[in-house]
Amino acid sequence: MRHIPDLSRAEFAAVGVLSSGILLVGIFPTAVLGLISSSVRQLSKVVG
Amino acid sequence: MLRILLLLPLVGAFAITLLPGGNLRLIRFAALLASGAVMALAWALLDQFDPAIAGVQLFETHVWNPRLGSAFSLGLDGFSFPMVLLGTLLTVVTILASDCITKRVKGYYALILLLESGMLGVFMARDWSLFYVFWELTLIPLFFLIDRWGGFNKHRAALNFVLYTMGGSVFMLVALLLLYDANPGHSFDIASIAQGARGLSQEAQTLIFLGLLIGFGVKMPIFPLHGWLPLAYVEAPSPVPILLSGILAKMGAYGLIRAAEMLPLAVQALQGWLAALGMISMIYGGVLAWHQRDLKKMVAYSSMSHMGVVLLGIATLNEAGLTGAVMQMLAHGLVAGSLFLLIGLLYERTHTRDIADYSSLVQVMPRFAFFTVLALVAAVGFPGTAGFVAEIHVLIGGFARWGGWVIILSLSVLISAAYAFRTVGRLFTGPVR
Repeated sequence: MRHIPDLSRAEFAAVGVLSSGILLVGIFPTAVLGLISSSVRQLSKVVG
Repeated sequence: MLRILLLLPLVGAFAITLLPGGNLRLIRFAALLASGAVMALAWALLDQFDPAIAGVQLFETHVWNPRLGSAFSLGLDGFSFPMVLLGTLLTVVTILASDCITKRVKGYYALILLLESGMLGVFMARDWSLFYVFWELTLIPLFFLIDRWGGFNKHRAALNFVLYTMGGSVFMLVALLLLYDANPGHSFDIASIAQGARGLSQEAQTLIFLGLLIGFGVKMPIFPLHGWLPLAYVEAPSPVPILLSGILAKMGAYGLIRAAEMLPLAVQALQGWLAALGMISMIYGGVLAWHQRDLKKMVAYSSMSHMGVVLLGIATLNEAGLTGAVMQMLAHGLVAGSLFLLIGLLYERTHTRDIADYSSLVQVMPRFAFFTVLALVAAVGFPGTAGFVAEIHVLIGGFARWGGWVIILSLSVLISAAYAFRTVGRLFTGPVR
């Protein structure tokens, strides 16, 4: 276990994109909430 | 525009089959180029998409089979567009993480792009017959990806996965045929079918909804339709569970939202049952995840637990809960994608997924440790992460609907915290071996 290489640049980029998404949606959720809110409101009127 | 989005991965897949098989770098570059172009195109649609409009946008339709009333209709709304964005992002990430694939590389990347086209088709389809075709289309590349590039039990896992999904699809197909029959216009158009379906009695709606629930529930998966899950996730080649859990499971949840929209009397009648199934999935999946020593199995069962939160959010039938369900679909796509990616990268280096084989990885792999801890705390629903936004909405919606019963969601969060922090402790602390 002492000599396992850490993430390469390509791996870092791949994981970094997803982790950024996790934090961005967590800290600034309004961007996504704005995208879905109209459709959600309409659905809640139909089923609620 | 949506047609191009759908066709671009197919063009990429075809182009890859024409490349010389020995040039791995060129094949990978072509796959990355095709998936990158699809992602750029999808994200560029943000400019054209108006979030204030609740209905379908960017709609395009072409007559497909007029005798059957089916059309090649595509469109996006607030439920499908975030899934399209997530799907294109996860495909690029999957291709970036596929360096470990060294055999039959052309076939592998062509199948990944074919899979992308299928899942985009599911989310963009505005006709149930088209939806069904794309739903089934995703099975073909997934079967071959697991069966040809998978682990020791790959044949059993691939067959198990396909049989479960096709078994569910039979129920879905019968339900769709009943809906088609009930539609006076005899069309598969989603809006037209919804109009016809709302005129059905509660009993008829409930029967049809149950058929759709089985079909979509297998894919999510929810308890007790999750039998294919551990084997398929564990035996699939390392990068494939990123798509399997990150976006293909969301196809089931998305289908269920469409079914609820179409059959409101059924979803109201079954509200308590749906909530119970969601809660059982959350707790049962969480407990199973807690008991795993295999890291991939742990994340697989945690996925089931998180999809239980989606089902609970849908079952609230109120705005907060439904918002939480869609946010959880997005959050889980990012979190499960990260976790499967990280575990896959670790496995490719050490060839073990047994948590007991690891210790103090933070000292040798600090970047890996940082991202893994971040993904695990997001899976728990830690404030400041996407998981928190989703769970708090489901909690608010659930409390408004059932009051104190939503304490079960808190219990599920507690179980998630138990296995997440146990994993952090085992992987990253202790003496260096």
